[in-house]
Amino acid sequence: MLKRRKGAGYRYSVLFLLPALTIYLLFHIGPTVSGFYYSFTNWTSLNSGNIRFIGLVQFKRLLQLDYLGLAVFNTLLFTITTTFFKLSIGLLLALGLNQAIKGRTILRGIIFTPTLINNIVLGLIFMTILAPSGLLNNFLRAVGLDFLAISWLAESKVAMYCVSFMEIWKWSGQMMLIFLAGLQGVPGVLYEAADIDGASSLQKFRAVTFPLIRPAFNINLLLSVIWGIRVFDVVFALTHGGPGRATETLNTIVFESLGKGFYGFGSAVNLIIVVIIVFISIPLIKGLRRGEVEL
Amino acid sequence: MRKKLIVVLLVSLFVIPLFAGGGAEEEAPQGPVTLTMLIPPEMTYDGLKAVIADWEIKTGNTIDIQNLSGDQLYFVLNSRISGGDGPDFFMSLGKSDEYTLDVSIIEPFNNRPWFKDIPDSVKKLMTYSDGTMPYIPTVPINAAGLAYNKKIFRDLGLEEPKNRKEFLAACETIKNAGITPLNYQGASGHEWGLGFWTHAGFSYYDRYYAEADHWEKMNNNEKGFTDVPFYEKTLGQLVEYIDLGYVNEDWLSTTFDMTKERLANGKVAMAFVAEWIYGPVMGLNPDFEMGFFPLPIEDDKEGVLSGFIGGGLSVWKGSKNKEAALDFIDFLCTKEMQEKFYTITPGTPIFPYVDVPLTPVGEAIMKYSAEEKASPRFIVFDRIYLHADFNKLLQEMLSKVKTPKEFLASYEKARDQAGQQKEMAGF
Repeated sequence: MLKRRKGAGYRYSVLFLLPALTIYLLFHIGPTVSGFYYSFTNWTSLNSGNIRFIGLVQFKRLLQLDYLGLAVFNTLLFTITTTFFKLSIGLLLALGLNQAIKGRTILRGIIFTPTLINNIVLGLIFMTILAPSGLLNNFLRAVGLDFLAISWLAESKVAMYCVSFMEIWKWSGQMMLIFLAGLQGVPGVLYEAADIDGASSLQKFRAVTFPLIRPAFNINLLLSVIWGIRVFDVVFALTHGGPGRATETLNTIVFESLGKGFYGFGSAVNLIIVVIIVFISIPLIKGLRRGEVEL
Repeated sequence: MRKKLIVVLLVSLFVIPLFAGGGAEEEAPQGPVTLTMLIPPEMTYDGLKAVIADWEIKTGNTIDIQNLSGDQLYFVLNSRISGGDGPDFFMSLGKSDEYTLDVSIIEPFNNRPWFKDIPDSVKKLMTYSDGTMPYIPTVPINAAGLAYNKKIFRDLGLEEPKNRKEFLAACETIKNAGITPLNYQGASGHEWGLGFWTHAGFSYYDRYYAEADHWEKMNNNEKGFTDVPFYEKTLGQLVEYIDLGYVNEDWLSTTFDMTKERLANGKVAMAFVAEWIYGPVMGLNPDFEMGFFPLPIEDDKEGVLSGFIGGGLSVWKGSKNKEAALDFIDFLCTKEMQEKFYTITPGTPIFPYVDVPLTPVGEAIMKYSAEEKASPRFIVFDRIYLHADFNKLLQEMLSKVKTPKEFLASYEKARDQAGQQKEMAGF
């Protein structure tokens, strides 16, 4: 019996797995392992033919970086603010657009559209809006709020929030879509039962809706946290890490290092990012799974 | 057996890409080819495009221009070359490339027919320490200084200031007339405009005060930026101009386009730039009268222009279209094409046989150079120039997040780390 199962079935399994596994090994595991190795080398653009193992030196250099603390703070600040607002706004939008209202399909489409726009293009649009004489400041001046018309991207204390805002604006629609998928799996009969019990809207949300869309919530939360820690493109598109180092994140350090040709150092920072993601994601997944319920 | 085969197959697939760069050289293609040119948009001059168009008609080949800026360009360039897919042409920053790129990947131009025509004084600024000259400037001979609006100066009864006292007086008069005296360009992504301002003081130091071995000591780490009090003094002056209200208030949001427009329409009187501003400003305002003088630093001496041979084109040694690429470079260096280039994009060519009228800025550069009031930009000498760190720190210093002293200390630290990365002696 066992032999038969290991025969044709096993062969087919291997054959079906092989293409995907090959691609995964080539394009994911390969570069990851190489990156891991290069983190411990002296590789730069000037010594590609003479790369050698130097132990933890690149990590020591990272710790000596003047703006490492700021980059870590910005990365965490971005992760927390964007995760909170993307999930909250996405959930509210999903709850609203799950109702039988006129034009909800069009509204869902409109809200989802920013997700489809390239970040570099979005960066240019937001730079125009947030410029000192841009759309936002012109509007503020027009309604008599001149004191609020500041150089949004040039103010060190505000720039990171502008970057976060762009991310929230872009991805809330995506979060909404995942929540909507979850909401559509909640049986209407449960709400009828809750109505019979005299439950309020809030009670229905807490006792029926949220527990049943918990898997969608967990996916959104996990994705948002991982995207937040890996943030690069929105920062690059909008502020280039500036003014000064005000919006620097871990991945902008990687980018700048690679631009300078310090590949070993860039790989080391990248490895740190991977480690942070793993350390945050694994407990998060475990914790979140505990709260899920099945019908 | 099958298991072993699968394992071998998977291992091979994993290992093969590690040797991807070591393949046999490809043969040069026959017939018309398309070459790629990786350069920043601000270097894609109309003059260059006109020469490319003529060469395409002459040869049947085409050149595909790919635009990327700053760090992004070098990142893509390094990655593509590492992967064996480098562009046929790419932007070279000139001498400073020697310290950031593996220059053995660049085709030297020393044997090209036009090489002997470049004056020795110019060659000195262009060649690497091993004597090779691997780029041809498409940004002309240049110098950074203060471009100013002659009409504003005339209307206010001002003359070109010869020292700092006169300069401050001129700024005050301009400010009182309701015009912004100085333009700082510091928007993220355009903060290189701030870097230019510092070159004035650094070149001034090189011209009047630096010892002969100043840069040798700096490059060996025997001396650092904090060891030169004069640097702190000149950086302090840049902060002072903001405090005195001479600088555009939105300098942290000012882009290069804004610099051109403000200079052209008389909203600012002076901007620290180089000759390449002339064409774009004249394009925006054909009646503009541009003057050019070095930024005064002290009361007892005239200022100094920061001279440089700007960026240019290099050819990747590994290009399978190398012969065609070199043919284009030779074509670009002919008298006819050089004159075409500089007629469309005004500038000062490196070849003495090129007969084009000088711009007012070019004339000023020649005048100050003849008077020995020009000195190469410090990045020509500094073997570890870190433009991103330098310009970002400038943003911080001018925003008063850091003092000039802290600026120099932070830059020195970044330079120290870079020296270690490059495994340079003394670091």
